[in-house]
Amino acid sequence: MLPPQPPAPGLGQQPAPPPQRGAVNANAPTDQYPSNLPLDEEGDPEANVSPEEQDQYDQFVGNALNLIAAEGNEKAGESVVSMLSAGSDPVEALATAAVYVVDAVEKSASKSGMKITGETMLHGGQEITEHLAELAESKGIHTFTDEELETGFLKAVDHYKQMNKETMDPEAAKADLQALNDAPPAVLEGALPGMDKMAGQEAPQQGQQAPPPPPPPQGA
Amino acid sequence: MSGVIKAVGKVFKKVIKVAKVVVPIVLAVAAVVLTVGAAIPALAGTVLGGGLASGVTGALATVGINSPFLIGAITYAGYGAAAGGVYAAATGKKITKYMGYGALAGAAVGGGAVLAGIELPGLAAAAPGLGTTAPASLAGPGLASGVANTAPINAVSLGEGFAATGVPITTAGGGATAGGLTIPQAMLISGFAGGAANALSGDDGTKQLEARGDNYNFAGATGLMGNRTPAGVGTTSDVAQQQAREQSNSVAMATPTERLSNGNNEEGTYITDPDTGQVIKIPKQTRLA
Repeated sequence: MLPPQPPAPGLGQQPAPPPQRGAVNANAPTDQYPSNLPLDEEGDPEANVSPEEQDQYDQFVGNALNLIAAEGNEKAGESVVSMLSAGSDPVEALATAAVYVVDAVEKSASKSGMKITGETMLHGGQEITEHLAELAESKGIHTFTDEELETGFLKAVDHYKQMNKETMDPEAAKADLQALNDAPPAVLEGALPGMDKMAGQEAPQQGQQAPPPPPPPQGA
Repeated sequence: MSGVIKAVGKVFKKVIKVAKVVVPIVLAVAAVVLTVGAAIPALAGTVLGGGLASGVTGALATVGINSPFLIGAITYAGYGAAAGGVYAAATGKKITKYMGYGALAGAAVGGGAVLAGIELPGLAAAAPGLGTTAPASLAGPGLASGVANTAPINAVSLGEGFAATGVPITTAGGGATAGGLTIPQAMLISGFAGGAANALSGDDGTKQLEARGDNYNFAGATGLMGNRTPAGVGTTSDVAQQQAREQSNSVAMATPTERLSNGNNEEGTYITDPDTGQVIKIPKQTRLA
C-alpha cells in the first residue's frame, strides 16, 4: 500500500532528536504527546518535517477537504455524508468514509504521477478522519467519543491495509517488525513515541499485580 | 525502517485544526497494525474474516514477536481488538489501559505472543468470542444487495484532481460503480462495502439519513461543515448570511471554503483557487494585507 521508502537508520541506532525549535511546554497534555516534543504556542507539537513533506501533506489533505467540503463539490460531499450515515454502526461508517476519501485522493495523485509517502498517508489519513468525524457531528449523524474516533481511525487503517495488501512488501515489514521487537525500550520510544508511557505510567509495572476487575454491578 | 514506522515520529502542521483529534499515540498503534499486516498478509484477511485471535496468535508466534510494547499495541488495536477498537468501544476502556495490560501480559508470558491465551482482568468477559466473531457491521449486506437497490446517486466529482494535471477523482479505484460513486475493488471483495452500498442504495441508506441526519442544524453546528451553505443559495442569500453573521458576531456561519481559506498556519494561508478548485498555499510573506 505504501510506497517504498528510502532506507532509514536501524533501530540499533539512537534516533536523531527532533529539532529544538521551541521550548517544551511543561503543561502539555502528557497523556497525549510524547514528552520530548517541543510545542508551539498553541500547545501543539511543532512540525518537524521538511517543507517538501509539509507541502505534500497540505496538498493531500487539502484535496481531501475539497472532496468533502469545497463549494462546487456539493454532490461529492453529499455522497460522503451518505457514507457517514450508512448502516447502524457510525464508527464503521466513519472508517468506510475515511478509507474512501483517502483512497480517492491517493489514486488521483497517482494518476498525476505523484507518489504519496507513507508519512503523508498516515498523518493525512488521521486528519481526514478527524474532519469526517466533525462533519458527521455537524450533520447530526453521530457525536463521536474519543474512543469511537480512535476506533474509527484504527478500523480505517485496517481496512486500508486489507485493500492494499497486494502492494505491501512483507519482507521489509517483517524486518521492521523484528527490529521493533528487538529494540530496547529507549530506542523503541524513539521509533514509536509514547509507547513506553503506555506501559510505564498508567499500567501496572512488571512484577506488580494487575488491578482487579471491576466489581459486578449491584443487584446483578 | 519503512515509511510507516518512520512516520510515527514525524509531526505535520495540520491544514485545519479541529476539535476532535486522534491522540498521537494512536498513530504508533496504527503503524504497528500496518506493519504487522504487511509482514503477515494472511492476517489482514483473518481480521476481516473473523478468525481473529487464533490466527493472529499463531502468526505472531511464527515471526517471534514478543516485545511487550508490540503486544500491547496489538492487544489494543488491530488484532486483539477486532480490527481496531471494537474491543475498546465495547468496554469503554482507554487505549492507555489496554496498552499497559498488553505490555504486562507480554512480559508475564515471557514474550510469547499468545494473545488468545492471555487472561486480562475484565477483558475476557468484556469481549467474548473475539476469536470467532467478526464485527457485526462487516457481516452486513455487501455491495451486491446494495447495488441491487441502487437508486440514482450523485456522482462523485472533485472537479480538478490532484496537482496541476487535474486528474479527476471520479474514477477512484477499479471497483464497481454505483450511481457514479466508485467503490474500490478490494472493498467489494472483503464485503467492506456494505456500509457504502447501503449509503447508495436509496432505501436503507436514505432512511438512515432521514432518521439520523434530517435535522441538520447548520445554524447551531460548528466545525468544518458546520454551516455549509445549502445548494442553490445565491448571492442574495450569501449577503443575508453575511449580515446575519456580522450581527451575531459569530464565526459559525462560515462556509467550508471560508473555513478552508482560514486554514492558516505559520508558513502561510491556504485558499481554494476559484479557477481550479484546488487548495493552494500563499506563503506568509506574500499574503495580501
